[in-house]
Amino acid sequence: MEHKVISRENLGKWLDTITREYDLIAPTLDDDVVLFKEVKSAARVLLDYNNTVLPAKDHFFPQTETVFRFKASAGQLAIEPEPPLARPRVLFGVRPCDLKSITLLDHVFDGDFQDGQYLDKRARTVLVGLGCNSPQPTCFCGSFGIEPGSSPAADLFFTEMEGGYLVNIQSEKGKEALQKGWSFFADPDAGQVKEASERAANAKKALKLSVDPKGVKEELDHFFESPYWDEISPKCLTCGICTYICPTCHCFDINDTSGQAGERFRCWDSCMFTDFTRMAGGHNPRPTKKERVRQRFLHKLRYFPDRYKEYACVGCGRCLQKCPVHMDITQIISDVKGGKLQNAAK
Amino acid sequence: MVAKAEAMPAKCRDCDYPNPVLSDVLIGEEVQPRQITPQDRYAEVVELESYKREAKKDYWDKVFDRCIRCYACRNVCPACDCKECVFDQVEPRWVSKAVNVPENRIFHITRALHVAGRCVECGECERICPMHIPIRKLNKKIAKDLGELFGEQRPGTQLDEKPALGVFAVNDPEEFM
Amino acid sequence: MQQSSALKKSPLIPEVATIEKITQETPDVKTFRVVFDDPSVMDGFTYRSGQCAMVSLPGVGEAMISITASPTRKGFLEFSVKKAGMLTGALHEAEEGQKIGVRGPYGNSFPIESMYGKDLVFIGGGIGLAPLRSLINNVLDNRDKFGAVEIIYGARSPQDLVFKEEILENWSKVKGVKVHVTVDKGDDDWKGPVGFVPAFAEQVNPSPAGSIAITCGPPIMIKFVLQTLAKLKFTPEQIITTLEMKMKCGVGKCGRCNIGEKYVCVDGPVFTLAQLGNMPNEF
Ligand code: SF4
Ligand code: SF4
Ligand code: FES
Repeated sequence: MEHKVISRENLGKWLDTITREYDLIAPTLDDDVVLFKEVKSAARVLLDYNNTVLPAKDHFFPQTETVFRFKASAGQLAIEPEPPLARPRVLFGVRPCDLKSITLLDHVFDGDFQDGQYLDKRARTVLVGLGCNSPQPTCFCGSFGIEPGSSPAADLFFTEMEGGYLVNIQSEKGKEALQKGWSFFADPDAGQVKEASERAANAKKALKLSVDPKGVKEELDHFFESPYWDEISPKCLTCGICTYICPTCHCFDINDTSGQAGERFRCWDSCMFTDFTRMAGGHNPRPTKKERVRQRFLHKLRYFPDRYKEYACVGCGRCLQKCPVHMDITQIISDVKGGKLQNAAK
Repeated sequence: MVAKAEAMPAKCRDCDYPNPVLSDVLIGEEVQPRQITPQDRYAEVVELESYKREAKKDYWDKVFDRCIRCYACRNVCPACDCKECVFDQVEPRWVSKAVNVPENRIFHITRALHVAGRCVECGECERICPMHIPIRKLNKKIAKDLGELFGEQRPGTQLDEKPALGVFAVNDPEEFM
Repeated sequence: MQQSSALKKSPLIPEVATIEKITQETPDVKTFRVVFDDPSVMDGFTYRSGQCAMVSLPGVGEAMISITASPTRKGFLEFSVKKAGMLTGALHEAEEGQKIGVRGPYGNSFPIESMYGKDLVFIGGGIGLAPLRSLINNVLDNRDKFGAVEIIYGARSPQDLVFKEEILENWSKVKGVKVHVTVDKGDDDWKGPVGFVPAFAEQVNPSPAGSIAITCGPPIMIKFVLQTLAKLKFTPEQIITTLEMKMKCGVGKCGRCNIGEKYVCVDGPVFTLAQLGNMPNEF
């Protein structure tokens, strides 16, 4: 793999150069909330942060996105699809867990019935990963085979080191973006490459939280019905926090603005909400919290792996941090592994 | 170690009811309530009131823009008790599911007004908000206005007190007419 | 992921089509004959009996509706729509000549090849005859490929029977086809049988030997029809039905319609009873 190094100071210069040809999306502060947002200058890019409150998915699958505009009049109907991105983008500072989650979303939006809007953003975005040197207590990416210090899903991968960063060039698309400011980068010496790989190894060791998801799907195959679901669901508020901050949750709704001229848009939706499966006429196949909580965990740990052969969790730990009632997916995984569903069923 | 004051949610720092207002059995000692003057209580609101109209709008639009409409603030609220919330109704849909400033504004103002006079200022909404929306500020603004219009009430502290907006009196001010 | 040159079209964008003809079937069911404005889209829209399409009125919304026309009859689509929600309500207000959006076809279909040489028993209730009608006309247009055909159909009242003319004038006159029609409650003019579909089907008493039963209708009717069929010794493999779930995207992405790992919009709506037995009971 090709490596480069860049100093902290030059990183800012490179990012500023980038903005001439790309839209730059990077972690930045909105009051005290860290979010991926478009920034016009490198000065607004936050470099010391654990992770963003919302995952990067918003920039491929926005919370609200116009699909097309329409105009209807007597005997006429005009449909104007939403145009593609005006400019290519650089998404800077994505953590390995979120990088992995994007590849999981690819399963959904690519494949049969390719989702043009998602794929356009995907194809025209340079993914710049940033290794984690100090994972948080809620991070358990390692449990899903994700390394906090590297990621094959990125086009460019940055590892923070003394005074700067080591850059792994992982795709042509990434290299092209780097070349916009080639002079800001230098060739690393062997010591620097070694330092970066040591840092990555240390980050992995620093992960405190872990679970072993092996066999969880197979176990869950037998426990759609289990009193365990009645046990864990009452405390859930059925709010949308866990689904909206989750980098792999991808359920959406489609709605129109009313009137003769307007737009059809899609927006995030949550299987936790009461109206998610309620049909016209009132029948609801998932009428209570129990079915909805069960759906969320079975979707991540059984149905998604059934369809796409991978778990739909990347161990970013956001739900652990933000769920108001401390619903804990690592606990649920351990319970499943520990035979709790089986015992509850007896 | 973190200092206690730092670890405490904002809502606890300005709480003046540290003891349950009603209990059959009280576990532990009563705590000496802090003296919080109305000036302190509403300091943030007063500051906001001093803004020019446009600046007020900008302030709220900026924070509402961040709201992801996860509805956690509503679901955790002890005063939210509708059988079916207007934001969950589908046929017809009263508020668009699009998450943008105008729709978020409607959500926040509707929520705040619907708990007006019943909000006990437990502050759970703000504590759990993943996006750090200053929800209590909105609640407090309404509490302050209600106090000025109908006399100061502290909802939830008096068993026999009716919420200001839950009763009608002929001498009620008619500010809005 | 490779750099793509042109933007692929979103699968959520419908094609413009015109409502050419509206037939009032019952007080709350209308059949819409629809033709795509672009002839190449019309030609390219190849579907199988049992498949559905997303019908939309921009400004109101979309709904997944089964295609009631038979693929053996080309050049148009037909949808029979019962007035139930916002979209279907607005469709009922539509006039001939109005433009709508249609995308699809979606979902699996009736396994018609596996029915070759078999006797077929159709059991429908109310608007549930709509998806069956596509298959029935398909079968009748390929009459020699199938054995005897028994059509058992019922509705709440004589006014609620859909496709009346077709049932009486066309289907019942085809050789080897027997049509049995019942209503829950008759009126002064009704001379036919009265009674609920499941009990009526039991009286008709179709034989399971070499047969396949296909049933569509309101969930409660299906529930009892399945009991009847079990009584008549039809095996779960011999029974085919369709599921209804809330749908939004129709293309297996929005996560709305899943029952276990199955997405009804792409893996359904047609399932054998044997398949349903392996799915979580969440529909
Ligand atoms: S699990 Fe937590 S975050 Fe998710 S819906 Fe329930 S209360 Fe909200
Ligand atoms: S909890 Fe926060 S983000 Fe969620 S709806 Fe309420 S204000 Fe918006
Ligand atoms: S309707 Fe969207 S996944 Fe089936």
